[in-house]
Amino acid sequence: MNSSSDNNKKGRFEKEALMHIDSLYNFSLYLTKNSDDAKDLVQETYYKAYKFFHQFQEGTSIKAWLFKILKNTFINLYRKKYREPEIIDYEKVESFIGLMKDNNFDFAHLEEDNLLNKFLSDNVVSALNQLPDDFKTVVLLSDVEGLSYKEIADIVECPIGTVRSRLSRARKMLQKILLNYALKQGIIKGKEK
Amino acid sequence: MNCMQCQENITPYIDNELDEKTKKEVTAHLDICEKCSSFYKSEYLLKSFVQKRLSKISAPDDLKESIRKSIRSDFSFKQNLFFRKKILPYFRPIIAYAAAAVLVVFIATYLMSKLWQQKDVDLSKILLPDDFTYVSESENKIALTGTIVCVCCEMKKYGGHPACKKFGHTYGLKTDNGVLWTIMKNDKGMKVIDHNELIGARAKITGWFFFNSNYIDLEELELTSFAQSDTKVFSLNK
Repeated sequence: MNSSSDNNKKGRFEKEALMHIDSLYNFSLYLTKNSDDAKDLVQETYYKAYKFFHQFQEGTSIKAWLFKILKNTFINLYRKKYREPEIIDYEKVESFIGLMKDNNFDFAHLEEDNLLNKFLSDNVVSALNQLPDDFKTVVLLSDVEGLSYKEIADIVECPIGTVRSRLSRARKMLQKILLNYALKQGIIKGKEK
Repeated sequence: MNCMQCQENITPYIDNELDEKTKKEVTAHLDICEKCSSFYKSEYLLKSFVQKRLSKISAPDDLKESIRKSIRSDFSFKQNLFFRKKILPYFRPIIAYAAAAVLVVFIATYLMSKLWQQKDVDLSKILLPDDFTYVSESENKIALTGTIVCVCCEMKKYGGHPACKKFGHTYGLKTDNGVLWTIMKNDKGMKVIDHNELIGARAKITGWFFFNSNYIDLEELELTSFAQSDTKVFSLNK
């Protein structure tokens, strides 16, 4: 009886949790920035998830649950200061957005001229890596993983309103960084309308 | 809805996180406002651009396989990541330092032993003239020929201190390679020391040689030539 419920647990876990391994590995890569640490982090995440699988609430998103475990494991293992929230230089962020207003370009202009294709994928990755961790996280979870604000709020442990404002700011910063790249690489020329 | 309210709602509008009522209001505003509409278009394009360009890497097969195996074996062979990441880094420098210390001690000991060996070997090679013979090698009992001298006077010649403060060298033997040996002041030695007239005489000496202090414990002395004409036949055993 016991062993059959055990097998059942294994089967369910393998079926439901293992399908998200690509997403978890991608996210790990962004957090740790190297594949060895990313592998370790994913291993550890699955170990913890398996151990506490009985605490998982049926009907909620197992993907979000796994991400939350992964994020906490990352903080425990890799961040020097335990659970200390990252200090965000808000002045820097604000000045970023201030600069945005001065710029006559936005993505709509690039699209019109079909210039978006000229960006390299590396540009996008490095632009993303320039964002503070908290901002990078919401972009990845929302735009790459397609999680809802509620799930993200659950994972990063902050109110939904904060997820929303972080996402909005993060996208503005990304636009700015990418436009800077575009200027530097001569994809667009300065001082156009 | 005014522009400010609209722009505040653009992000959740794009992510489809607004309730139906607000969503309709935003759509209505975007239809009539060019500024907000371009604002919306820009962010929408960025989102789709990021989605398109951030290609997902799939997890390595070995990782997938090892996790699958781990699940089937209840994670019984799991390595302790907490130990490896959090505890071990603190001890790694200590282990490294300990290893370095052991190595230094080992090398130092090796070099010291080499140095001592070299000292033993070299001293006899450096200090003794070519024509000596070992009477007993293990006791450093040696027979050699030299000139009897006043060690103090010889040292003075070379600008040294006339009386040796360390070993109290007095009378002795100067071998042909220029090394000064002092005769130990025991019964046999005193007999040589007491005879001033022996200075300058050539003698063949047998005795125990002490290389570190340049002393000779005299056993036999055989005069071969005399510096001073009035020197008589000299015997230690008399």
